[in-house]
Parts: sequence; structure tokens; C-alpha cells
Amino acid sequence: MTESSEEPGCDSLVPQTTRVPLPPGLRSRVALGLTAAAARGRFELQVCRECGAVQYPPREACHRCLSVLLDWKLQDGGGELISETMLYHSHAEFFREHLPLRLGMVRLDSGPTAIVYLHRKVPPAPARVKVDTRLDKGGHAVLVAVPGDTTKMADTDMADNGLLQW
Amino acid sequence: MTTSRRQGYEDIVVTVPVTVPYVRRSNHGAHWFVARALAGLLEAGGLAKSALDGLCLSSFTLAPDTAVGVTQHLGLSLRWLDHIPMGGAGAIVGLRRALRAVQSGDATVVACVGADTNQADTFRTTLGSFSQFAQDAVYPYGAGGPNASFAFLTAYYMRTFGARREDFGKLCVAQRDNALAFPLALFKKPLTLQEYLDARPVAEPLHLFDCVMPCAGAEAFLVMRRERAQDLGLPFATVLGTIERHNSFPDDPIQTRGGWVLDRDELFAQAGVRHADIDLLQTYDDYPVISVMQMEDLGFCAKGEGPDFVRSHTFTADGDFPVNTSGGQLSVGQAGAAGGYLGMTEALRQITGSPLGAAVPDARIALVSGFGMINYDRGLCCGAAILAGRNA
Repeated sequence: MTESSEEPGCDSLVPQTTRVPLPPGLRSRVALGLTAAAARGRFELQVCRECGAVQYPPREACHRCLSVLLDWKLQDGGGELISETMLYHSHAEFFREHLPLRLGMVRLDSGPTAIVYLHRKVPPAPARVKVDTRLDKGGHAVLVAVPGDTTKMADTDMADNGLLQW
Repeated sequence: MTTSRRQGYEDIVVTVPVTVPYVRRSNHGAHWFVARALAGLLEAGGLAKSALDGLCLSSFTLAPDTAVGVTQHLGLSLRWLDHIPMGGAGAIVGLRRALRAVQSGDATVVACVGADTNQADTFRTTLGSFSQFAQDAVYPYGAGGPNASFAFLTAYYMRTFGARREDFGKLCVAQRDNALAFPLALFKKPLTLQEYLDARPVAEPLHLFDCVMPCAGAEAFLVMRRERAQDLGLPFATVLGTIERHNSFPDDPIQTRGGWVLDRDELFAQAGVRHADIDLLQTYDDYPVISVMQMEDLGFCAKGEGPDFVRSHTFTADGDFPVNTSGGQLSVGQAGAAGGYLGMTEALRQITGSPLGAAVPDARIALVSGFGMINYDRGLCCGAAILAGRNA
């Protein structure tokens, strides 16, 4: 049991609790499937049960055949970095202390284009990358890309700047 | 792909370009700017409020209202109403809807309005909830907004087609020159190429002067039958051809082209003009790369020839290829959905002989292009219209 100070007037001496900013946390319900898999250490995307098309961003129906039968399935994450940016300005408070941020646009071998956090060891576009999921500081899945020949994702160090959870 | 022959717009005209002057920030709601735009239309058009029976509205900041709420808010009793949430394509698409409404007799006088406010937190809050895909798969990655999205497209375009920052800078500098003569532009200082190149990075390869400044304001025009405009003594433009296209190349890994490519031949065929007949081009210019893409995709040069096209032309109002002659959004400001209307009002003024700023000599035929809605990784809505002034 913690003893609380009962001294009158003490409250004003206690430092104000600082609100810790978090990354944007709003997600559609269907997008939470990405987080559910990421929490188990898996990179899963929706795959159409009817035509096999891989979907990203997460959605309610297949972009190719309109089937609503989409199953979350494990992805190998292979893809090509087709473009990148170094971001120096953010509209969200959380990111301001993490700028500049290296972001990439990856064409996954399975079809979709994904916007990802880009590991510093990934060479300039065009380059082979491997995409995986991490949880951000708000507990939501985000996609990260590391060099294509990376074998153990645990060897990468994307968590050491405080941007992502490990 | 089957194409149908497009019916013309012979007896329908566009008239009364109105701009509600832009301000960097405003405490007014979007409805205020819609109201000022409508009042401006009625005053300049010599019309009573009751004469307006159609409204076509584009705005990002009306929430929780849509155009429906605006009718009661502003006391408008209408028999035709449309809300076009298509950003930079709003004016083109709105024009298309209004033309057919008047042509078919569903309405007689339609006001087309793009209006937005910019309160202290408007831009940021709009970004976070811009679309489901942006919310789920773009905004969580650094919350860079459209700057980051266009940085990807710009970097790819530069790498693939050999464009240099100097090429984009040339466009931006020319537009600033145009803006210096345009009294409603928010940017009033000259811009040199060196200042453009030395500006701070925002999202590489984009730097400060590649990006528009969000602001508040409105743009508007009226659509009515030719006889009505003549009775009212209003200068007007006719519409020779229009196109629109949405989600045009979904299998492209990254956007290097827009839907104009698919429809430009029909556009020019419907209009009965050639590229050489176009006296001025108004592109949607939230970032210079997309202006270059429009020059290519509308057929002024081939894909990938944009950089050379920029190097071999001049874009000021007195240049050999006048573009964004009021300064465009890059130098006038981006008043939300009004940004999609900016080129339309400017073109109408130029080809009806009443420019507010520098006049394009002998301007008769204008091409106005629209581009909107980075729903996820690319802009989805493309449109264009070719308009002719009275003497065309």
C-alpha cells in the first residue's frame, strides 16, 4: 500500500502529470485485423477466398471481384521499395520529436502498394525489401520495411528511437 | 472500352466568376464563405435570391452539415442540389453536373461553389479523418498529410523521367510572377529560383515552395442558358467539352498518370479544337509534379517529356504557354475545395476579357483541369473542361 501525503497544499507542489502524446490511434474496425495479427508477431493481410487477390489497405470487400469473403493470411512480406521520402513536418504532436522520419512506398510481391516505415539500412529506391508489422507506441500495427536480405527481424533496431514498441 | 458519343452543351453557358478573398485563417464557419460566394454571384449576376434554383457545392469543412444543411442555413429553396466531395476535381465535376441539369430543364440557374474555412485546427483535423484508407494506412505513418503522399509521387517521377528540382522550381517561380499581378493572391513577394532551391525541406524531395498554403476562401460561378445570360447582360463562356474519370489506373504500382490519358482524345474531339488552339491552361497545382503530369496526360507532350516541356516553355501570362495565370494555388493559397475552383474562375475571367491580374493576350480558349482526393496512395478524381470565350 502506498502512503499518500496528507499535507495541506501539497497538491500544488506535485508536478503536473505530463500527457504523453501517442501516434494517431483511429482505425476502422476492419483494419484492426492487422493489429490482431501483429500482436501475435505475424504479418497478415486479407486474401480473397474467391479470387485470391491480396488486399491492402484492409477493406470490406475484394477490390478485384467484390467478394466479401476475405481471410487474414500470413504474408512473406517480400516487395520492392519503389519510392521514399524523408519527412520533416508532421501534423501530429507525437511525431515531432521523431522527425525526420524515413518513409517508403513498397510494391508488395503479392500485389498491393503499402506505405511503410523504412529502416535506415534499406538502400535508396529501387531496392528489395522485406515488410513486416510492428506495434507502434499506441499499440496499433504499422508496417516496417527492412533490407530484403534480412533473415532475423530481431536483428533490426527500429525500436531504439522510441517510435515503435519492440 | 466502348465509348459513347457525348452530347454537347450548345445553349448552356458559364458566367459570373466570383472569388471571396482568401485569408490565412478565419474564425468563420464554411457556411459564411458559401454565403459570401452566393451573395457575390447574385449581385454580379443581377439576380434575386429566389432566381437561384440549383446549387452544386464542394467543401471539406461544413461538417456535420452537407449541402443539405446549407439550404436551410442560408434560406435557399432549391429544386436541384448536389454535393461534390471531390476536392480538386470539384469544379470540373460540379460544372458537368450543372450543365446537364440546366440543359435538361431540371434547373434554370445553378450556382457552383467551392468554399472552405481554415480555423486554427481545421487542416490537421481534416487530414486525420480524410478517408478510411488514409486513416488506417497513411496518417499513422508520420502524419505528413498530402506532403508525404506527393513526396512519394514526386521522387518517383524525378527518378523515372529525369525531372530536376529546377524544373518544378521554374513552374513555381512563373506562377509567383503571375500572382504578383493578381490582387487576391496571398503571396505578394517575388520568388527566385534560388530561393525556391534553398527553401527548407518538408518531405524530400518537396521543399517549402512546392507546397500550398492552406487558407480560407471561396470560388464560384453560375451556369444558365445562353439567352438568360444575354438578357442579364452578362459576359459568358461556352463549354466545348468536358471529361471526368475516377480511380483510373488501379494496377499502376504508383501514380505516374491520371485519368485524363483515357479521355483526352474524346475531350478534344467533343470540343472540336486542337492543342494548339488552347490559349491558357489551368492545372490543379497543389504540387508542381501534378501540373507537369497534367501537361503530359492532357496531351501537350508525351509521358516523360514533361521535364523537357517545362524547360522549353514559359508559363507566365505573357509566356508562350500560359499556366495558372492567377498564380495558382501555389501562390494564391489553397482554400480547401475552392482550390479546385481557382483555375475555373481564372479561366472564365481571362476568356471573357475581365482578368483581375495579368491578361493572357487574345485569350479565347482555355483548358481547365481538375485533380482530387488522395484517398490512399494516389489522386483518384481527374477531370477537365475546354471553355471558349465570347469571341472564340
